[in-house]
Amino acid sequence: MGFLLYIEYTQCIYIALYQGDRLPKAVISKLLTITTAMPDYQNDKEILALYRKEGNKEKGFTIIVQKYTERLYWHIRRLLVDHEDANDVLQNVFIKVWRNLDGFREDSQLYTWLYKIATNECLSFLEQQKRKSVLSLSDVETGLNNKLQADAHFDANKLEWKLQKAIISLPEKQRVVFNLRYYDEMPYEQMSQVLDTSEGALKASYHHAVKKIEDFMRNA
Amino acid sequence: MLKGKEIAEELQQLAPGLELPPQYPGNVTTGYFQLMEKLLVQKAKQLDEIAAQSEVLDELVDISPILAEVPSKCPFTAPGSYFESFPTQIKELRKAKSAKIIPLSKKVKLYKRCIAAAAVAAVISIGAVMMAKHYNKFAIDRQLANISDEEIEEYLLTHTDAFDKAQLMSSVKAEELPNILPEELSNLELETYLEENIIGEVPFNPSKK
Repeated sequence: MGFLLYIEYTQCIYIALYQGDRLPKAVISKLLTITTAMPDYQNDKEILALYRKEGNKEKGFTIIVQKYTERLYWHIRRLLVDHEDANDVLQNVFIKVWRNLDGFREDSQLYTWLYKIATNECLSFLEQQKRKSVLSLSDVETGLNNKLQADAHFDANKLEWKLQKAIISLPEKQRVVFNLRYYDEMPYEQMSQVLDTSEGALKASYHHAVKKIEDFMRNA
Repeated sequence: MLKGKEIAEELQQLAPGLELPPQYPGNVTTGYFQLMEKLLVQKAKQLDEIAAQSEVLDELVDISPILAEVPSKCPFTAPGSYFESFPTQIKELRKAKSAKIIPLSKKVKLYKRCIAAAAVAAVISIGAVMMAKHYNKFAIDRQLANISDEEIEEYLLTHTDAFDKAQLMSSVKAEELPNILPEELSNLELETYLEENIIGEVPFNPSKK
């Protein structure tokens, strides 16, 4: 059904582009917005079909790894700051994907499912850090700040690094929402599937996060 | 819509004698239409990314114009060729994690279970013995504490013999004994007392008795 809709919309765009300036730009833009939601879905469907084909499991999985490694890495890295931590968590994410992909029923898009696993793994990792920090009497925020300052490229005077410091000061879940929206430019609808939270709550959370970051940047 | 034949007849009526080629002479490269769909998707994707960026940016400008001015580029960097080598890394890790685990044979399992059971039983037995000893010790001490000195003295007078006296005396150090003899007692008086009371009780040649 999704694929048929996709074909239909592609044809509409074809006509729209063929007719050039005679169609209002807003209509073309709307058509493009609707249509481009489909390609990833279609490709992922093809990958999953390949994965489920006998003897192609490994090949299908490798394609998923190649396609999503970079995107998931940056999502994890922005939450954990340190490369080694991000690498460990990313490995765990793909091991989980390998173990659970057979059970993935495609109720959601593969993309949101992967982000969900990655986010949960990050939160679990931070939870472990918290338990350790109780023993070492230092909090997670301090730990992340230390890691940030230990980065070879860290420059306290540059705005992008100040922004990172501000993001670290946010509560965990607000940090996830902010990163998904600001850096990954994820629509609230998809974010809602990743975080199992209503769109309204996510919008409010993002709003609060932005305001806190603004305050932090002003006072820094 | 007019069909091909109708169009030709119509043209003949309008301009008799005009012979036009039935097909358009223009051509497209092979596979153009197959490629078109892919190109459109790519183009649409780019436009969609721009639209998403614009949506996020518009929202940010509304909430915080200051933050909207900050470059949204993430300053972190990944080590060179990390992304190229990661699929191999994950492949090796996956193989290592899914390495076949050989199950222990039933005999080994049974043997291990027996050892574990024996260890648990030993711990329980030793614990029970220790507890019993501990409890008994305290029980005797508690009972003795309830007996008065007079009762003990009477018991010793009526139930002990010479052997018991010697054994009791050997277990007590001389310094710990209370000084029951008067200080001013002379050696002569002492010898006399011993000759009269103790030495007289001991038979000198018991075998001849």
